[in-house]
Amino acid sequence: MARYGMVIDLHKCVGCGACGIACKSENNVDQGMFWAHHLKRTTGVFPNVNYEYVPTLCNHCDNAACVKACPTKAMYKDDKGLTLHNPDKCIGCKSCMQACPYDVINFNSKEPHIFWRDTTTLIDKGTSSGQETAQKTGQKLPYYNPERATTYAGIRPKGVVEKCTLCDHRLAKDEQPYCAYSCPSGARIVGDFDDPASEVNKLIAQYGYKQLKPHAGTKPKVFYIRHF
Amino acid sequence: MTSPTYTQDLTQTANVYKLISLLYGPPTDGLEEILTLSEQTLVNLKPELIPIVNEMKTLSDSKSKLEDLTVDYAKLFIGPFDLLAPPYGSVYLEGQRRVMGDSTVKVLQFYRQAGLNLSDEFKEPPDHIVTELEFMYYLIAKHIETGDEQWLVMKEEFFNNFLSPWIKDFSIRIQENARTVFYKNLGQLTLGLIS
Amino acid sequence: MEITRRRFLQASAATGLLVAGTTGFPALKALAQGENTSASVEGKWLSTVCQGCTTWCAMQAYVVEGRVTKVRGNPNSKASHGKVCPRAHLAIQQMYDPDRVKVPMKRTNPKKGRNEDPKFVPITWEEAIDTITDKMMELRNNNEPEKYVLMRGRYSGMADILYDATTKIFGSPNNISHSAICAEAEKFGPYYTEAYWDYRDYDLAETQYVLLWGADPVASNRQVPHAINMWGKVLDQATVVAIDPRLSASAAKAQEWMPVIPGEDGALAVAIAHVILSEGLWNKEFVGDFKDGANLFKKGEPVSEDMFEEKLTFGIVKWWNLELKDRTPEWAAERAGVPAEQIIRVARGFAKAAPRAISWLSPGASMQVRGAYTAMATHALNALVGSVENIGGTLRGSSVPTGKVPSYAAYQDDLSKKGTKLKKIDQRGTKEFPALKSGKTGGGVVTNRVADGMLDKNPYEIKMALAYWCNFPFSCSGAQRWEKALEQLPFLVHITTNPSEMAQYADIVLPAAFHAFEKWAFTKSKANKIAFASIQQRVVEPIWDVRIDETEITWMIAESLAKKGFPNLLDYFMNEVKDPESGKSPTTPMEFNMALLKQLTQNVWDPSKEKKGDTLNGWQDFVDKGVWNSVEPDYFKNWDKFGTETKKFEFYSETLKKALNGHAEKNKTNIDDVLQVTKYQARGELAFVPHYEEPFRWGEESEYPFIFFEHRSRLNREARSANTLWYQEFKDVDPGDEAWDDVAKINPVDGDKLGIKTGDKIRITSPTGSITCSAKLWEGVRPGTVGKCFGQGHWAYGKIAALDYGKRTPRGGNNNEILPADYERLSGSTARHGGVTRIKIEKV
Repeated sequence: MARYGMVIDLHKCVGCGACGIACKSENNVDQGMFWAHHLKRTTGVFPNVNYEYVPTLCNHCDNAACVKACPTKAMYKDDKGLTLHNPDKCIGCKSCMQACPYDVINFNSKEPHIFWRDTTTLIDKGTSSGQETAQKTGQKLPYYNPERATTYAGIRPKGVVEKCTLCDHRLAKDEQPYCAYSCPSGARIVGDFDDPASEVNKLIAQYGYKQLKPHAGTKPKVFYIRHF
Repeated sequence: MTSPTYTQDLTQTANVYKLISLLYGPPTDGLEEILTLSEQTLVNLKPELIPIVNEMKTLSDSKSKLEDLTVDYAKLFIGPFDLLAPPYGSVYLEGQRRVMGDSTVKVLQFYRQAGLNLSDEFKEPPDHIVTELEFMYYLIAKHIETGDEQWLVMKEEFFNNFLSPWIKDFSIRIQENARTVFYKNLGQLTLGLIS
Repeated sequence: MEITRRRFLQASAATGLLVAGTTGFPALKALAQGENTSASVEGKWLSTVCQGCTTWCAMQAYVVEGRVTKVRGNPNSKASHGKVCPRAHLAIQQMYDPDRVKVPMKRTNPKKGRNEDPKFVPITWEEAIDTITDKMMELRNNNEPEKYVLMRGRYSGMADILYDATTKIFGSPNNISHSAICAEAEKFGPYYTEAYWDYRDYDLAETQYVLLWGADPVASNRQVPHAINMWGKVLDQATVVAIDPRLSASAAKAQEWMPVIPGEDGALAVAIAHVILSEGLWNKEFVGDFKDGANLFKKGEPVSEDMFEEKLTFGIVKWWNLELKDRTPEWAAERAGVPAEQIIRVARGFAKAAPRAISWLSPGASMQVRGAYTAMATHALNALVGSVENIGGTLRGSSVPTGKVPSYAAYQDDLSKKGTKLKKIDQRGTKEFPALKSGKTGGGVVTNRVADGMLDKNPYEIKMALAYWCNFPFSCSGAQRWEKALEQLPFLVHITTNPSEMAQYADIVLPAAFHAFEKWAFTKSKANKIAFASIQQRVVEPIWDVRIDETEITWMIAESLAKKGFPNLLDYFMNEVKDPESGKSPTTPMEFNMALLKQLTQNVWDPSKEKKGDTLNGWQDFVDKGVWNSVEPDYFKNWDKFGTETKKFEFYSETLKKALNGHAEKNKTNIDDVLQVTKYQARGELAFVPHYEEPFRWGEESEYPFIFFEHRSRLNREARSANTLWYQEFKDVDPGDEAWDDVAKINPVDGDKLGIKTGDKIRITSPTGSITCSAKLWEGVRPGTVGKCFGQGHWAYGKIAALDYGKRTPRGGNNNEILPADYERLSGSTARHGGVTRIKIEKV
């Protein structure tokens, strides 16, 4: 058993959003859905103003409310401590979304990637359409990443939820999740909290940490160190 | 020769692809044996090409000759600069001196559809002549092994889309630029078998 | 061990098939049985260049089945630590943008205007090129080739073949780059102090103090991934001060924010200098000292020049006497709206960190109507603390040994020689537009003035333009002038990826290969003490019928011109461009592209060429690695030989004096008159030292109560990314901004006065234009000022960028429609910053 999670060093983070965009690219996440996103807050009064940016993602909680709430065991914990989701078992009841205190689970209310089904063109025969572009590339999504499909539905169908898997397909190949890999500041560090020698444990021991909504009792495994 | 009727013809066609593929490898003292096998294979298939092979045999058996072949081989196929006969499909198919072009990727995808990957030992792009000829051999071999027609369909498709469009130009460039009779004849042999 | 072929290979007894000796399976050598044939096709990382901003980071694209699925920084790139910023990811959606122009098109509605549908119809490349060269030949046959203009936007290292050589061989002086709308005023500072017309590099790894003059390095130009990667360390070891009217991305992370009133940066710069001198904190090793050691720089008191023994600088005492002696922090506090204590604290901290202290100037503090002297003042602070080319300070770059396009003089006929000697359409070098790039009158471009030149037919009429990768009716301030100028231009060819604002005025639209993934080219840049050349590679076959702007299209034009009786251009290409590997002349557009690319980069990839940097093993190695890294430059390299008139770092700029004199003489006037017409206040000797100038603003305060300023987005790919989903979904990563929206950031105090709430639709009006957008009440801007990001407000370009492309309804409003067309005239730069205009706000 391992307990994978993430440390986010807010001192290094510059709030650029590369994590969230790279995640969409890696995981074929549709418009309007976010597996990795952010909270923002501006406080104070001019000229004493403070701006904070907190990157967010599934906390892969030890005591995951979504897993408890799921009536079909579609949402489950795996042997790395990840909170994962099986779309084949998902009935789209959204119980997990209501149970999750972090607002990080998304529901597919429409056919996925309808942007790429659109047939309108701005200039007849001169410019393309979403559908024509997708057809030209032979995929439902022109930049579809087939690697995502090795452990999860490559594109999740209408009627089911979806969320961050901490890039379990990449962890399986001993690669960092793509958000961490793409972070230009090196602010996201992924590791096993059950391993006392892991970088993540060293960092939280060195700096202390904060968690989002610790009182929700979910035991989240995204630990924030230092300050933005 | 692209649509032989008899199994024996098919087998020999496959074998010829394999043997020519081997002849496009770096020259070694094993060439003679490959040529002998080639001669045997051609007896029923294309006897008119046997004299070409025979001439190659006499020219590949001594050590000094092997050095000549190595030099010629390098000038024709290896470079570093200004290959006389680049052995890569994309160079011909994409109208520019470009290795690893889009056609290269498509060739690789074709191999993967057939359940193959590039060997770790052979460090050349997927559209190298050695690889493409070996692939032709493999597809026919799979048909013989399984009796499944789809392998022949794939073979036709691969030949028409990826090998046929450039192998003639390639063979001609060898014939025009080779300094040794061995490679001139190899170009001629290739042309004779493929056409 | 000798394994004979016969043993390895034998005929199967059952089938007669040659099989591998021991297994009976088909004998494979080049191929191998795959383990998992049904699983996803494996991709490959291919090297290319981002070009989302001018950092030009080496990046890699992951290509699966001929598609790009994701990007990453090129691990071989030392300058960017193998990283890319968020912009690089947007390139994927840019390439697969459904609104891309996929074939050449011609206009069938001869009327031009924002509300005229051009009624574009597809045509073949042959027809497009034929039409273009007909027009070109017409100009030559009428002996007026100068009436052709080439307008350049984003470009590569191959640009000069089209921009320079083609224009000049054809016979026009009018090759116009976009540079002056980008940042030329910034380069004025280092040039007229240390004779370096370029962006600087910064020694972030060693620095202990960073003054950001409107610079926002973790978000925008010019070294974004490097800055982001280093910023945690910089904040650990250094004090960062952001001088910016807005709480920028970098200000949000800085220890100090100095929310300067827009355009008053100069007051802070000279006051900081005043504190450093009056408190004796300057760097004695670099600047020198008073002969008797006692500091005579006392507030308000002039100093005798012979009391000071200067070392590597020139004119410190002149600078004090002419400008600094009265520029107290108290004086500056009143001008700039920043407390005197903060100015003093920052000045002391900056000086105490010397020489590990950086004064980082940017377009924000220099692209102001009177910004040239602010650029000089902010850069001169580096000399006061001796950080110029010093450890932890400001640096120049190493050189990248790429080549230049071959000489074309021999291919110019009499007509083209005559035409290229005529005055340029941008009016550079006229009394009002000195454009003193690198010390020469008219040495630089005045991009935004071209619209006026065309409208006024001054110095002559323009009949035809070939514009590539630029979008001047969107990207130039006073954008409406460009619309008018293009309406009356008889023939416009636009090479573009999207049906942009400029394309709406085009007679022929040519679909451009998308730079990051569809083009073969190279670029060079610098960061992290490394200069580098990168290969831009066609990583996937384009799905549309596109061509490479600078080379393929140029070749096709040359071939067509040759057929019509003007072979000079094609002759030049065929004779002077050769593939360095094969020695062969090109015969097709793509061969031309590749031959030129290899020729210009040969020094970089050819292992036999000596250079200071990586050794690559040939062309293919360059393509594979994607980047060539230089060595780090030496510190102190120019300390004994600054290229200025005095060979010193000039606080009193003899170099500028000479340039201004040259300009005045050419225009038969004097320097004071030049200062007058270029809107500067200084007269006499003050013109040669960095000094304070009051900000120049359009509009009276009584009618336009707010100062407007604009800023950059960390997601802007030079205003080309607004048509991507990810840009809009993540637009809120710019502090204060909102996803899918274009907001004017207003201080809540002002919002209350106006009765405006966040989310309200508002109209912003300046003396020159009016736009609508959303209001955002935010504490990150000063009361009395309104800040808005550039990049939204497209009324064309695509379905996402525009709210309604068909109806020409923009998403938000384009700042350039309320910003007046004004200039920092000494550099020729567009003056878009420093609160150049006042505005009023109404709820709609």
